[in-house]
Amino acid sequence: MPLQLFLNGLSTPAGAVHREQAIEYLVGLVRTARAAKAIDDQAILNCEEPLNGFSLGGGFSIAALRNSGEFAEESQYLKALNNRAPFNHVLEDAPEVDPNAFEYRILAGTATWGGALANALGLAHRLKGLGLSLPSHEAWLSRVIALDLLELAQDGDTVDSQVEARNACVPADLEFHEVSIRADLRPPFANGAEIWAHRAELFPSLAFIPRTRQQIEGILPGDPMLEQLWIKLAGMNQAVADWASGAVPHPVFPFNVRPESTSRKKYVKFNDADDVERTFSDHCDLAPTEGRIHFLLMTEPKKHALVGHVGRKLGIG
Amino acid sequence: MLDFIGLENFKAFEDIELSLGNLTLLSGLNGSGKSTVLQAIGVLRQSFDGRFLLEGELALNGELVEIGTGRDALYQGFAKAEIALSLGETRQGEDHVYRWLVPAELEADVLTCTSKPERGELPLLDLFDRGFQFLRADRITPSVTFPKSQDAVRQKRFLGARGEYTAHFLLEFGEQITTAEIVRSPHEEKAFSLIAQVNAWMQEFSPGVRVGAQPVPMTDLVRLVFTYKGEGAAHGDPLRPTNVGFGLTHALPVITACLAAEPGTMLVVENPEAQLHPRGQVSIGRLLALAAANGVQVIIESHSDHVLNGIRLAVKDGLLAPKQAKLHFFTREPGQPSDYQTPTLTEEGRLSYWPKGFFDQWEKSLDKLLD
Repeated sequence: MPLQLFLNGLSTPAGAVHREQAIEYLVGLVRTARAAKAIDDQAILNCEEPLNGFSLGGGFSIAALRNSGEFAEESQYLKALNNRAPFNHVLEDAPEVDPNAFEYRILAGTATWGGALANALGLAHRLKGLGLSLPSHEAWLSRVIALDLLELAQDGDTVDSQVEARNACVPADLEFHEVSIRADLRPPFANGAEIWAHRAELFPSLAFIPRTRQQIEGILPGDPMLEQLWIKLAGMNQAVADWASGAVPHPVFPFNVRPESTSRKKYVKFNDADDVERTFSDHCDLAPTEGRIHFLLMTEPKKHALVGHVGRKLGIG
Repeated sequence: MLDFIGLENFKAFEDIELSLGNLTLLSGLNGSGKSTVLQAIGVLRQSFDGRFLLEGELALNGELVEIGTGRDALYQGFAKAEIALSLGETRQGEDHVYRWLVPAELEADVLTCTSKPERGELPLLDLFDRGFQFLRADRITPSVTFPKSQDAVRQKRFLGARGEYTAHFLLEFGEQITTAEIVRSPHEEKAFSLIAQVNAWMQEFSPGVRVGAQPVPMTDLVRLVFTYKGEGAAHGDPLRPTNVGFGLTHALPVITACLAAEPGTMLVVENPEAQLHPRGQVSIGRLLALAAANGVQVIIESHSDHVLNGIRLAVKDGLLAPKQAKLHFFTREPGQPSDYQTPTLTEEGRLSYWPKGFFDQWEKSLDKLLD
């Protein structure tokens, strides 16, 4: 999942705000968002309400500033940042997260906002993302913000704990968070053997034919293909899971997938675990060299993808 | 409907098999190979029209495309100097592939096949059928008169590669053709004739305009007459095309083709956005999507993110199914054959992913403006 940014509505100033101040907030917000995008080009800006209506204080919404003929570029930039609202859209990409099983509030006893519901910062914590705040109060200048987390345990009891969410309101805050954000974006394993060993948990919507074991286990620590393999298999797994759940009528892959041409299909026939020959036509690129992952969408016994080849493009000598 | 077109050793391509949808949008940098796909379609159609194809020959130059000789058509990095063009379709549940293989005689402009579909094996594909349209980027510009062609218009229902017979087509069929419900403009809910709907769609490009075709007495020419709505309901004095916006004449063949096309035909358009302002470009993208939803196989080459957005919005509005649209983005590294990526659309009209360079210049420029 790309870096998720959550616009913190609590940081909207409650009182009167001069137009110049509102403009400064907007420009600052864009600068901070750009610093986040520099870490992850795929970053997504999540808002509780449509971005146009987000208040910069004093009746100045983003749309109001844009409609006055100024700051159109700032408004456009935020909208182009894969902008989506409300927050529950992000949870569609994280089916393992049950929004009814937790509640985040600003740490009780904190001046001004203590005990306030903190949806944006809470989701930033839950999804290892980042809260984006306006520097409207000293409280929002903190790079980490303490939250009370109330969680529903499996036995039906509730569990209290204190957690910290990442927060940013100036570009320098991103420098502070960069290492931890990059760490969270990195694949959670060190080599191909670990991927193979944990494939069932990592990619529940994928199955692998026997020949791919050696191909995957052969990827050593430090090989740049490791991260690429993680990106592709994770993307494929998510696309197939959405298809299997009925959320989409066909898999929507977050990268280029195409069939093999008629003249090249002879290169992609492999035997599955039952020794049945299958043609693994659909494939995606596997950087950084001329690599490919070939797979086959299956509907039995359930919708899944069967991976048939992980490695060098076939048939090119 | 064609499922794919295969190109081997043809111009920028070493070996590709490009899937085609009800609507296929080809995009990419200049020289990346997208026009090559249209040229291959053009070669096959003009070879069919010129009675070359059934004799096993490919005519590289003709009414639709002018490629030159075998030297120009051959991929420079070829391993064997042979060019092959293939068409794939599914008919009654079975896959059929028709392939023409020609040795690339370097100086010849008609190439002779060493392998081709047998006579009788080749069904009347949409590509070879009546109603096929191929509108080049260098379409008609405003002119006082336009030519007539009984063969093109009456026999083939063809607007001309440059749309030069559009005026004649509107003269002959403007009142006769009833447009399909799905392509009709929301601005005109009562009159369904081709000319009424052409005029309704023209409002998207220039509010108040009305176009009509009139014969020029004692000649084989047709005149396009533009009028603008004056005060009240009346239209003002007729204007010559040369005295109204360039874009109106330029877009007219595309609008006419979309509205007149019958299901089961093929419509190929280069740069449908040319000469139109952004709102008009979105509208023409939507109209092309509606034509595709009407069962016309539409293939577009475009540089316009507005055309793309018009298509995306048609998908979002449920007018065209996401799977019916294929978006191919071509790239070419120096010294390498052309390659392409195919992001898919969701039901919300969003893209599955944005390939680097795919209509992202706006965002890049915005980023620089914010520096």
